[in-house]
Amino acid sequence: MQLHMDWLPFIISFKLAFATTVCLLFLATPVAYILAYKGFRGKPLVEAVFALPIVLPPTVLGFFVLIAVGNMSPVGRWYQNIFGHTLAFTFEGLIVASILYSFPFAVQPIQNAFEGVNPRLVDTARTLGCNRWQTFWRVILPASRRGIVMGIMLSFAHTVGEFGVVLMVGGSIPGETKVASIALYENVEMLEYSQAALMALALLVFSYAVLSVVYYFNRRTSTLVPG
Amino acid sequence: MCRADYTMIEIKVKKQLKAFTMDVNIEFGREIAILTGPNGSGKSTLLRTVAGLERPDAGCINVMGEVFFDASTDLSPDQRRVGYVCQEGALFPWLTVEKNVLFGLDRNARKDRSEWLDRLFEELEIKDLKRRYPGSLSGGEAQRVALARALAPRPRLLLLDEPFSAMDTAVRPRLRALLKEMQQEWEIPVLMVTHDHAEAYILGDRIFELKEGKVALCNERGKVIRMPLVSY
Repeated sequence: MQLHMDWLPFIISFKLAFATTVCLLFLATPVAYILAYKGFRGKPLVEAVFALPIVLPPTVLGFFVLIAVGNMSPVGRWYQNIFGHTLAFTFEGLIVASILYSFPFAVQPIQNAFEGVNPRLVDTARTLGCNRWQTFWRVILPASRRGIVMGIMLSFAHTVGEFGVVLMVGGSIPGETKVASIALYENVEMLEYSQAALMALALLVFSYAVLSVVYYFNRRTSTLVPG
Repeated sequence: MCRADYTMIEIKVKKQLKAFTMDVNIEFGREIAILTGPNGSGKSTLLRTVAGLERPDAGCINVMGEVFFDASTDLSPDQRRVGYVCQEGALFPWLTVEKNVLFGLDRNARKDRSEWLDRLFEELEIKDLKRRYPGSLSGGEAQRVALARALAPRPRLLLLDEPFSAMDTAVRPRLRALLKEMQQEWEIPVLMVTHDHAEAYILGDRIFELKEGKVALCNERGKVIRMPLVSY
């Protein structure tokens, strides 16, 4: 029995989660802002689209992403013309898929935090000379920091926990797209249970740690005295 | 239309609200003007239109010769330079008292106005609170900080929306006196909303009573014959 652990899939998982989370921070924040503060026709339909990844089987999402980045779609062909290859079965392709897959987990906590900002603080900042952009940076963001930290942590943890989407879009190329959850699955297939147990335990501990921090944050937020 | 008088604040606005149409025409100078009246009579809404936080349907707002709003102008709140203090104070809870007060000043102004700021901290008796956070302040302390924050950028007009109603009745007289002193010393025009009649007549140089969006009664200091016995 071999108890040597292959850390490479973990490193890829964390690299993927890190890249995805950074991208999500910049993509989800403006979306959350618009959903929180702007009313427009058909908003529930838009919100439903952004929430889809929560209920869709990951394989469905993965299938559509695979088709969209492949050379059958205009987007896929455009990318191929520039970089010489499609996004399918590459690490970059995984990032695109992960961004879509984890999108609601970033948007929803940030949107909730934005909606919870005391409108009096925003009014006061406006009368103190802040334009809308300055008000966002100086009041809305600091007042929402806990929600943003939650969005970051949930996106990160959710991306580490991906399986179906990664399998569809990335395959399982060692050192490139073979992430921890897939390595675990392959270990089980090859009946290497001790390896599998170690990996499963590591993922379990990680997820539990992240969620504990999230709930700790949540509790702190709800007991905060509103300003 | 407004006359664009350099010594007066002229507020002539119409705005359709849920239950009635607000239609107000008031003028005042470097004094304390009070908006009073029953709940839901449009006092706070009127104050917010002067701050630029709500938009009137028609009319004009002129503050010391500067047009805030008319048929062709609508300055955003950050361009109006008015101080606005609401009932709960709305201090930024993640900033210290000192940073709250400095919030409306840019970097250069913080240096230039240090003397003015020292005076504000002194006169509002918040010097010893500088490093505290809003969560640890009493209602009266928080409201004094909110007042200092609104005054720090030297606004052209101070708007107060029931500034004393959320605090202990015991500390209100002290704060009223402080407000009155500061207004007389700095001659800043003040428009203050209160539903407390006694407060209105203690503080006000000019009192406007709103009822369903219209000025039902207008009193000037010295000309008050009787205090209305109605209480809301």
